[in-house]
Amino acid sequence: MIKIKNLEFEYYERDEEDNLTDMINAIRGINFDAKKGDFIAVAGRNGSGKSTFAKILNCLITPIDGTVLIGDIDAINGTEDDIFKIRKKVGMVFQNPDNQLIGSIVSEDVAFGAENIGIPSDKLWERVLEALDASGLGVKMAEKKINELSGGEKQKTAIAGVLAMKPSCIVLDEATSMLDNKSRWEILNSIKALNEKLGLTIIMITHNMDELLLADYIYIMNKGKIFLRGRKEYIFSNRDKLKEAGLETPVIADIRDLLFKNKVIRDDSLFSVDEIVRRVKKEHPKAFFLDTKLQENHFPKLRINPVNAVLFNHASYAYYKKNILNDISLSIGKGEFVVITGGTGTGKSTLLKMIPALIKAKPEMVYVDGVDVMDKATDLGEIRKKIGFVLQYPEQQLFAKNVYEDVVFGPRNTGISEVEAEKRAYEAIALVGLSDEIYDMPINKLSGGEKRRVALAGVIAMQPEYLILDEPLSGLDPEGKQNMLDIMEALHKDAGITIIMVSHDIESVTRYADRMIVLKGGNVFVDGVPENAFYEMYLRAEDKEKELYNLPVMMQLLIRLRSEGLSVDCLITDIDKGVSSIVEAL
Amino acid sequence: MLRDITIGQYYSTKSPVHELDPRVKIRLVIVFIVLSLLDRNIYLFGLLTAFFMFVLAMSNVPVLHILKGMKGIIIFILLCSLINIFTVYGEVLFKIGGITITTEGILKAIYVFWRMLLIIFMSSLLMYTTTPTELTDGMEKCFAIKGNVAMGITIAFRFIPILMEELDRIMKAQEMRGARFDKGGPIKRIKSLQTLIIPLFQNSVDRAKCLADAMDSRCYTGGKNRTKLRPLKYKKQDYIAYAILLVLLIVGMYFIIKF
Repeated sequence: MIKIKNLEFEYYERDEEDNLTDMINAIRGINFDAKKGDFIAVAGRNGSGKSTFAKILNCLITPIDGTVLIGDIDAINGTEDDIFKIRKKVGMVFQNPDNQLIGSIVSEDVAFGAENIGIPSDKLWERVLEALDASGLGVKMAEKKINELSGGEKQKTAIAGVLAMKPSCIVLDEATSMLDNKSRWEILNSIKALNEKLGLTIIMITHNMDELLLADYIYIMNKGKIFLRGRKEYIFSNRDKLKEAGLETPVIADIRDLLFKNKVIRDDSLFSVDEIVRRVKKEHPKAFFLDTKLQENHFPKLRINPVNAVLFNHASYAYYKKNILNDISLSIGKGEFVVITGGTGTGKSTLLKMIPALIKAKPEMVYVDGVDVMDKATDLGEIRKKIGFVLQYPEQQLFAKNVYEDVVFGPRNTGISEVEAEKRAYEAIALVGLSDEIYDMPINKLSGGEKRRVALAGVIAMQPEYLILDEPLSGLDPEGKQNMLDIMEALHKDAGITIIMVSHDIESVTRYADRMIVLKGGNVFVDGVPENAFYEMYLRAEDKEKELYNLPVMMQLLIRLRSEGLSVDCLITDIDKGVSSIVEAL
Repeated sequence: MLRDITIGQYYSTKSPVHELDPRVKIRLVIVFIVLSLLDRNIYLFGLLTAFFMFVLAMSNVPVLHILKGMKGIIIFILLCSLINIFTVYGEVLFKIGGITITTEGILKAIYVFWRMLLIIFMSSLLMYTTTPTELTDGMEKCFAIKGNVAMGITIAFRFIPILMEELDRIMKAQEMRGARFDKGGPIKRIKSLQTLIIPLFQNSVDRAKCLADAMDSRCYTGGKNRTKLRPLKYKKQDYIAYAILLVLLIVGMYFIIKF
């Protein structure tokens, strides 16, 4: 269906006087094939050229050399009419849910593409409803306002919009990278269903390694070239090469390799929890007892520092009569690393914003260092000096002409001497692991991950005692995530900064945080050490089978093994500990 | 507070007013506004108020919902109309210090406030009951706007709330880094706004690029051969609405001429 040979694409960067400053070789000699009904993943770090490649498939960019055949249409030398035909055939879903929806109402947006290709009005509704059904959003949502949808629902709307044009192939350009785990899997499952049931060709651009497992065939891109290609078995046996490309192996492959090394299983080509469970059972049938009772959750008391840093005292918040937070009482101690999770609309961001009184509530509801921040007499300036706040997508809030000017903005506002402000800015830039060559760089020359680090530096330069972060890992590739987590760990361990962050990234939560608070419907649902908290979520879930997907992979495996009758300890998320628990149980 | 702005705030529910053709609603609002601007007398304003109440009742949009979104504007027009008290000459009612209050002044202030209130409430009712796409479709027909201009307006509606939220986020981020937008003289304030506008502008440009790709990718070519999910077709209720509109116009004109 798609045949690409020796694809080349480059673009020039010019300075203000239109002089050539840089020539960027975005794509260098790519060969690519997709047959009808294939599920193909293309992965690579930010800037590897994968998104450029995706745009070429949709004729949004014209390559400089090579051949691109979509069906039997030549995409490079095609007429305007040909391009139209290609776009009808190959639909595209983009990364940012807010930047690709045109209508204000779900049905209007879904119809947009179909309207453009001239489907008569009386057939349009049929198409819209059909597409809504297939995308997993459901026909009931047809009259909803786009602005009231969650990120996941917006992406489903975008998929429905493509489906309404009846394409034979869908290209997803990092379509899940801005979503929480639950919505991410909902979308991935609907895409898988589209592939299997409707026979649609799927080309998925991603840097989430677990998503690659869904694909039949994987291309790994690095520096504009195809670096590795093959089935998942081959790709994930090349650990070093993946690392070179800025990627990692999925957790499930790590666990399997460790089990293989420990001689628990003698098959190193398994890629799912179910497969591993079956294999362990097959190889060690005698280790499985009949007792399959659920393990109880022994909740150790949280060791909270008695010095209250942040205290929520029956805090409630409502917006337009809709309760966002209901009577939350929480104490966060000095020096803790707390992660707050929960689905969309559970009040996580609101909770964070209440700490420095960015959202106002009634007096005596929120205290920081014993001071009532909601009291009108409180000097908020003093309180806010102690609190560093990194809002969602902080890179979008950068404003200065270069890196240094942006980072020094905060310190300058505090009224310290210019020399001192300068010193703080330099220290902060070093702390986030950026080299000093970057000081004079204009912001728009930086990569996405670098921009986010600059934004973080701007907050760190204020020398806060508390650092609050709203989804700091969202949208980053594996390397970028690791960088951010390393910085946070250093700030927590070396500088003793209390960290409170909202994050959906469950695997990293377990490795770095020492406390996890789960919100549900504006209440604290679970609060504890991450291992306990995850397990508690599982125990309390109505649909346990579904909830499994929201747990770290190691815990998923342990719970499944235990329910089959192997006496492992389920309260583990660490891979090494988990595997040794399995070894012991055998 | 920024989220309270009502532009582009469609209120999704079912009602006879929601069902009306956007062309009818747009013309109705225009006639309503023109009538309210032509003259000020108690009968005309009473008629218009009654008419607004009638449409409001039919629309199923909760009054509180509208009021919440208008707090800021109501205070603003209240201040604007209060100025009238001091600027109109006439029969002196009383004097405080150097300020003279006249009966005419107070009356004028009341009328100005009432008029602005009517205009704003009526037009926001149009926003609440019509989706931005319908609205621009209607405007396309009523004012003979070209298809791609109408598309631009649709998109503007869609992005106003997004940009408002973004502005809010940028402001909060900078407030947390010690910026004060409420302190200092006018020049300093305008300067501090600069740090808000630059990222907002930059992000809008980035968004626009993405959106252009998304529209291209869905075969948008500027409205040629485009069909419509909700084609504008007059139904029975639209003719009834036009009849009501005509009655309103006649009675309104009568009041204007008579009083």
